[in-house]
Amino acid sequence: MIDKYAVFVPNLTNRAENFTSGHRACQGCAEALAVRHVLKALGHDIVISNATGCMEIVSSPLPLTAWNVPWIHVTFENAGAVASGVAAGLKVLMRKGKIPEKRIVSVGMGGDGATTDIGLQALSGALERMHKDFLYVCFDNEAYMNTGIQRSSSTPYGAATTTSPAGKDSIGQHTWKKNMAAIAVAHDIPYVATACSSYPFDLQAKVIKAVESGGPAYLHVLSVCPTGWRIPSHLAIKYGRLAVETGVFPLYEVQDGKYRMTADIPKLRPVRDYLSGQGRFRHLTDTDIDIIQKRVTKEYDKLISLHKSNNG
Amino acid sequence: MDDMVTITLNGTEIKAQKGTPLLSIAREKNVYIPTLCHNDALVPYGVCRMCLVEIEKGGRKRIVTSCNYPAEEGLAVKTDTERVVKTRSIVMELLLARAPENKMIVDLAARLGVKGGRLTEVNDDCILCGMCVRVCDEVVGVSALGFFSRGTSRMPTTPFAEPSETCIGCGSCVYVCPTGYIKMEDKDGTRYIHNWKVALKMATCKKCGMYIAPQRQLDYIRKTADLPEDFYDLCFSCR
Repeated sequence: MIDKYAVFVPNLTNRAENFTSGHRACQGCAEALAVRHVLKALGHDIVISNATGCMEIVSSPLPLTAWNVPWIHVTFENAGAVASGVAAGLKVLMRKGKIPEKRIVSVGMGGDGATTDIGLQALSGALERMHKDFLYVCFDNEAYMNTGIQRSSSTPYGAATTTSPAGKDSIGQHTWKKNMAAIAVAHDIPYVATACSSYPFDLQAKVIKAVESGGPAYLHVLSVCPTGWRIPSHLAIKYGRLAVETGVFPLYEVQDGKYRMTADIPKLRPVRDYLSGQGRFRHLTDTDIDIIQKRVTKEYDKLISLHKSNNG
Repeated sequence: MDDMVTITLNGTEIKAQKGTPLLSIAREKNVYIPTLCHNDALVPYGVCRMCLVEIEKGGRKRIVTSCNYPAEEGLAVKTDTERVVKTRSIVMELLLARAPENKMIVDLAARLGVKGGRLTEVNDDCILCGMCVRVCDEVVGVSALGFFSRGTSRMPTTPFAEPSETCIGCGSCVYVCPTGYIKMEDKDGTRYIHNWKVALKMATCKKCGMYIAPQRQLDYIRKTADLPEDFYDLCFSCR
């Protein structure tokens, strides 16, 4: 699926922009790009419940808005809860004949902080209630970038943030990144996938699949943050690709419990390629990188074996 | 503002640029009109007949395809009259008889409340919308595809139905195909598009060995964009 549509297909995608230009995201923000692609794939019939975070703050400074679709800003804690309320509300309105019967997808959106830390229990509840036409998208930029780069449970091992600074006695974040996709899979929902805005057609295809799965679906989208990752703003796409090609952020989907790798990567790059250019990892020694490499290989092999056992 | 015209869409008066296809105006106003052969990047073709609407001009009512009917002053457009629904249902029924097992067609029929069963089923996933032929010509510029034969044996294919020598394996036809009839596969460094019988070797990055795109596609882009010989030696991540 990946990379197949390189040059000509961008002319053929949905031209409607439901996340418009003119918002206040940083230069080179790959999260804004991810939101744009998700909305292109979703179309018009959606209601978005957007948790506090970068995408909310940059897109809705009163009296402006960048959203061309129904959109509500909710707190960190309750994006999952509000989105499930919207799904239930729409169902009732349709049953009572107040709005015409059609598929309207309730979309929850949040950053990694709102998803993996603060909003986790509301999201877990929403996934467990098995709402129809419910999609939650996590835009993971691996820290609380909006408030000034504080660590979250999605921050990878070894990354320096303002609350996990690197120094003589610290290598920065000292725990491993929370595997949120696996938590979503554990809810036994019809569709879970990881995606990255550096692979836009893969991302759009996964959004469409998620909606078509009917039930609650969860998408985990790696969104490169040049500001927080300390990289030049024109390299966001490249680092998204490197994250996938090194196996740090493998792309896969889990449909009805069946794992499938969606990126065709003949041979993984060494993680050093991914880590070396980023300011947040620049303090890492060779030993630290070896530790990370070991962990990445182990996790990747686990996925590959799941893929093999599920796909013959 | 001379070229602005006033039309009514389902009873609502709206202003639009003169000549804009009615379908685009309706889409902008979030009025649902189904389509199978439409893409914004392509010249409207008007073959799938799903976008039928009823227009009223000078007291006369007609059914037209909205994808290629231009907006003009005083036009009254209705997208959900009995006549529209009936005509569209018949077209849908015909399509359903052609591709009764295709998920896309079955889903659309269900959405439009159309049931099959009256007509003889053919089971051909290709609905002859011509998207692949047109995209290859208009967007890619390669024109590797065309229609072969006429009537019931009409089908999109390569010249003489032989393995294409011009297809660059870009996948645009696969992407636009509304029914998923065109099948593409990447396997062990080769890209196959089974419908056109092509197997194209993928170019690999000289540094890391990742697949970039079919060699023929890279050659084509390099030639049309006048890029240096070594432009595609490295993949995007190694540059």
